[in-house]
Amino acid sequence: MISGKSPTTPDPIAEALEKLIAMASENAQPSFRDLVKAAGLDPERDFVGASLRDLDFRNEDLRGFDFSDADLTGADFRRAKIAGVSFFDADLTGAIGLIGARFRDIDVAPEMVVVPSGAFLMGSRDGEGDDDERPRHEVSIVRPLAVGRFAVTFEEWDAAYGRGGVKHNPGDEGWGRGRRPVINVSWEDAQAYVGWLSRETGKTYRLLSEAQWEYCCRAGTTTEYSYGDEIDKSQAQFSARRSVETGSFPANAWGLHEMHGNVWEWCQDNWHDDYEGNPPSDGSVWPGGDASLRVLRGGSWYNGPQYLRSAKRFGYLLGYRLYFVGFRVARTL
Amino acid sequence: MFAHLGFLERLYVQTKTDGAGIGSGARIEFSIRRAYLSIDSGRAGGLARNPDWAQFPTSGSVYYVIAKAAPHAITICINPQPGQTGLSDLPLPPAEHENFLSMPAIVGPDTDIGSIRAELTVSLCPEGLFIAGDDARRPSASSARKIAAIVSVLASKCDAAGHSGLIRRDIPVRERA
Repeated sequence: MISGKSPTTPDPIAEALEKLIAMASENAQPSFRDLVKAAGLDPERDFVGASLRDLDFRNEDLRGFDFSDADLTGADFRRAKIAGVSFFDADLTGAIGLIGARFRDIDVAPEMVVVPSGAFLMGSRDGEGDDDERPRHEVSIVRPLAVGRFAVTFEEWDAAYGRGGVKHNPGDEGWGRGRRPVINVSWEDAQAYVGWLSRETGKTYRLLSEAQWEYCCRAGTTTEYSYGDEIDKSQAQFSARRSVETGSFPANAWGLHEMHGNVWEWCQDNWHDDYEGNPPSDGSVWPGGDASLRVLRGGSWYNGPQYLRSAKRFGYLLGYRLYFVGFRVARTL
Repeated sequence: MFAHLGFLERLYVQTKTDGAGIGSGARIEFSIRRAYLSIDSGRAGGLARNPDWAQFPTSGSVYYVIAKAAPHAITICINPQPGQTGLSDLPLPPAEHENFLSMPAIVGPDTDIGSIRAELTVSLCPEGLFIAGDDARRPSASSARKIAAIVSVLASKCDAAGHSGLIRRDIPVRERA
C-alpha cells in the first residue's frame, strides 16, 4: 500500500513549494517555464506522463517541452508558443487553443498548423467523381496532427540542400524559387527531406497518408472542393502556365493553403486502384497496393479544375521528378 | 493469487509555518491518477491471467496490459472509476466469496512461491494547493494549479526508482496460511 502520510514528502519538495509560492506572490503571473526552472525540473524530460489537467498555458512559451503521455485534459493553449513541443500520446481531451496553432520547429522548417481529430467520409459517392474514388467510406483521425501550412517551398528545400540534408538540387523551370512550392522532386526525394527534417528537429516528420491528405483538404466539408461544388481562379492555381508562390490563395477552414491546385502533393501511400478491400479506418497509411506507384493529391497549375477535387486521386512512379509535383509534410504531435 | 490493494484518497506535501510570517503553511494534495500492479514469477508460464476477471463490472477501469520491460509478468492497469480523478480503497474487483481480496493472477502448479515478485507503480494527480491565513501570499488560481502540477512532478521525480517519473513500491508476497 502506498502510505498517505509523508514518508514520500522529503523536505526538498516542501522547500521547492515554498519557493514557488514566493515567486507567485512577487509576480502575480509567473510563467510556467520560470516556475519549472525554479523547481529544478527539465522541460525536455520531466513532464512525460505528467498530470497537467486544466492548466492555463495562455501566452506561455512552451517551446521544447515534452508532454508525451501527459494528461492535458482541459488545458488552455491559446496563443502559446508550441514549436518543438511533443504531445505524443498525450490526452488532449477538451484542450483549448491547440487546434489551429501555428509553429515552426526550427528556422528552416516548414510552418505547421495543428488540425483537429475527427471523422469524415473519404472518396466519392456513386454517380460522382471517378471510379477509383469508391466506395466512399468513413475514416476517423483519432489524434490531432500538425500539417504543413503550405507545400514545402524552394527556400525550405534549398536550406536542407545547403546543409547537406538532401542531395538533389531541383530546377525551378525559370519561374523563381523562394516561396514557390518546390517542384521536380520525386517521392524518394521527399522521403530524404522528411528524414533530414526529423533528424534536425528530433520530431517525427513524414508525408501525409492519403486519408489524412483528403481529411485536411476537406477541412470538414463534403462538397467537391473545400470552397463548394465549384472552384474559380480566385481560389486556386489551375489551367495556368506555372506555379505561384505559396500563400497566394485563401486558406481552408483549418488554415491550410493551396490544398487545391498549384502542385500535386505526394502522399505516403502506395497506389491502390480503388477503395475496395479493407482500407484503414483510422487514417493510417494503407499497406499493400502497387509498390511502384505513390499517391498524388490536389491537382496542379497544369490541370483543369476537375483534377483539383478533394477526392481526386492520381498515382505516379515514385522515382520520377515532375514540374507540377511537390509535397507537404506532417508531424506527429 | 490474491491481492489486497488500497489507496488513500489524498496524499500531501506541506510546508512549515512558524506563526511569525515565516513559511506559508501551504499544502498540496494529490490523488493517485493511475496505478500498475505487476506480478512476475521470473519465467514465462509461471503465472496466468484470471479468466474470470472479464465478468466483473469494473467499467473498463481495470484491465490487463503487457509491460514492455516485463512481458511475461501479469500487469494490471488501474484507472479511477468514471467521474473520479483518483483511485481510492479497493480498486480491484473482489474474488468470489471475498470482501477485500481480489485474484489478479493464477499461479501455475510448478511455480515457486518464493520466486514471485509484485510491484505497484503509481502516478500522482494534484488536487489543489491550499494556503491557510495570509491572503497576500495566496497565488492566483491559475498559478496555484501550475505550482501544484509542478510539485506533483517534483514529488514523483524525487521518489522514483526509474527515469519515468513514476513512484514504485515492492509489494510483499506471502504464502497464505
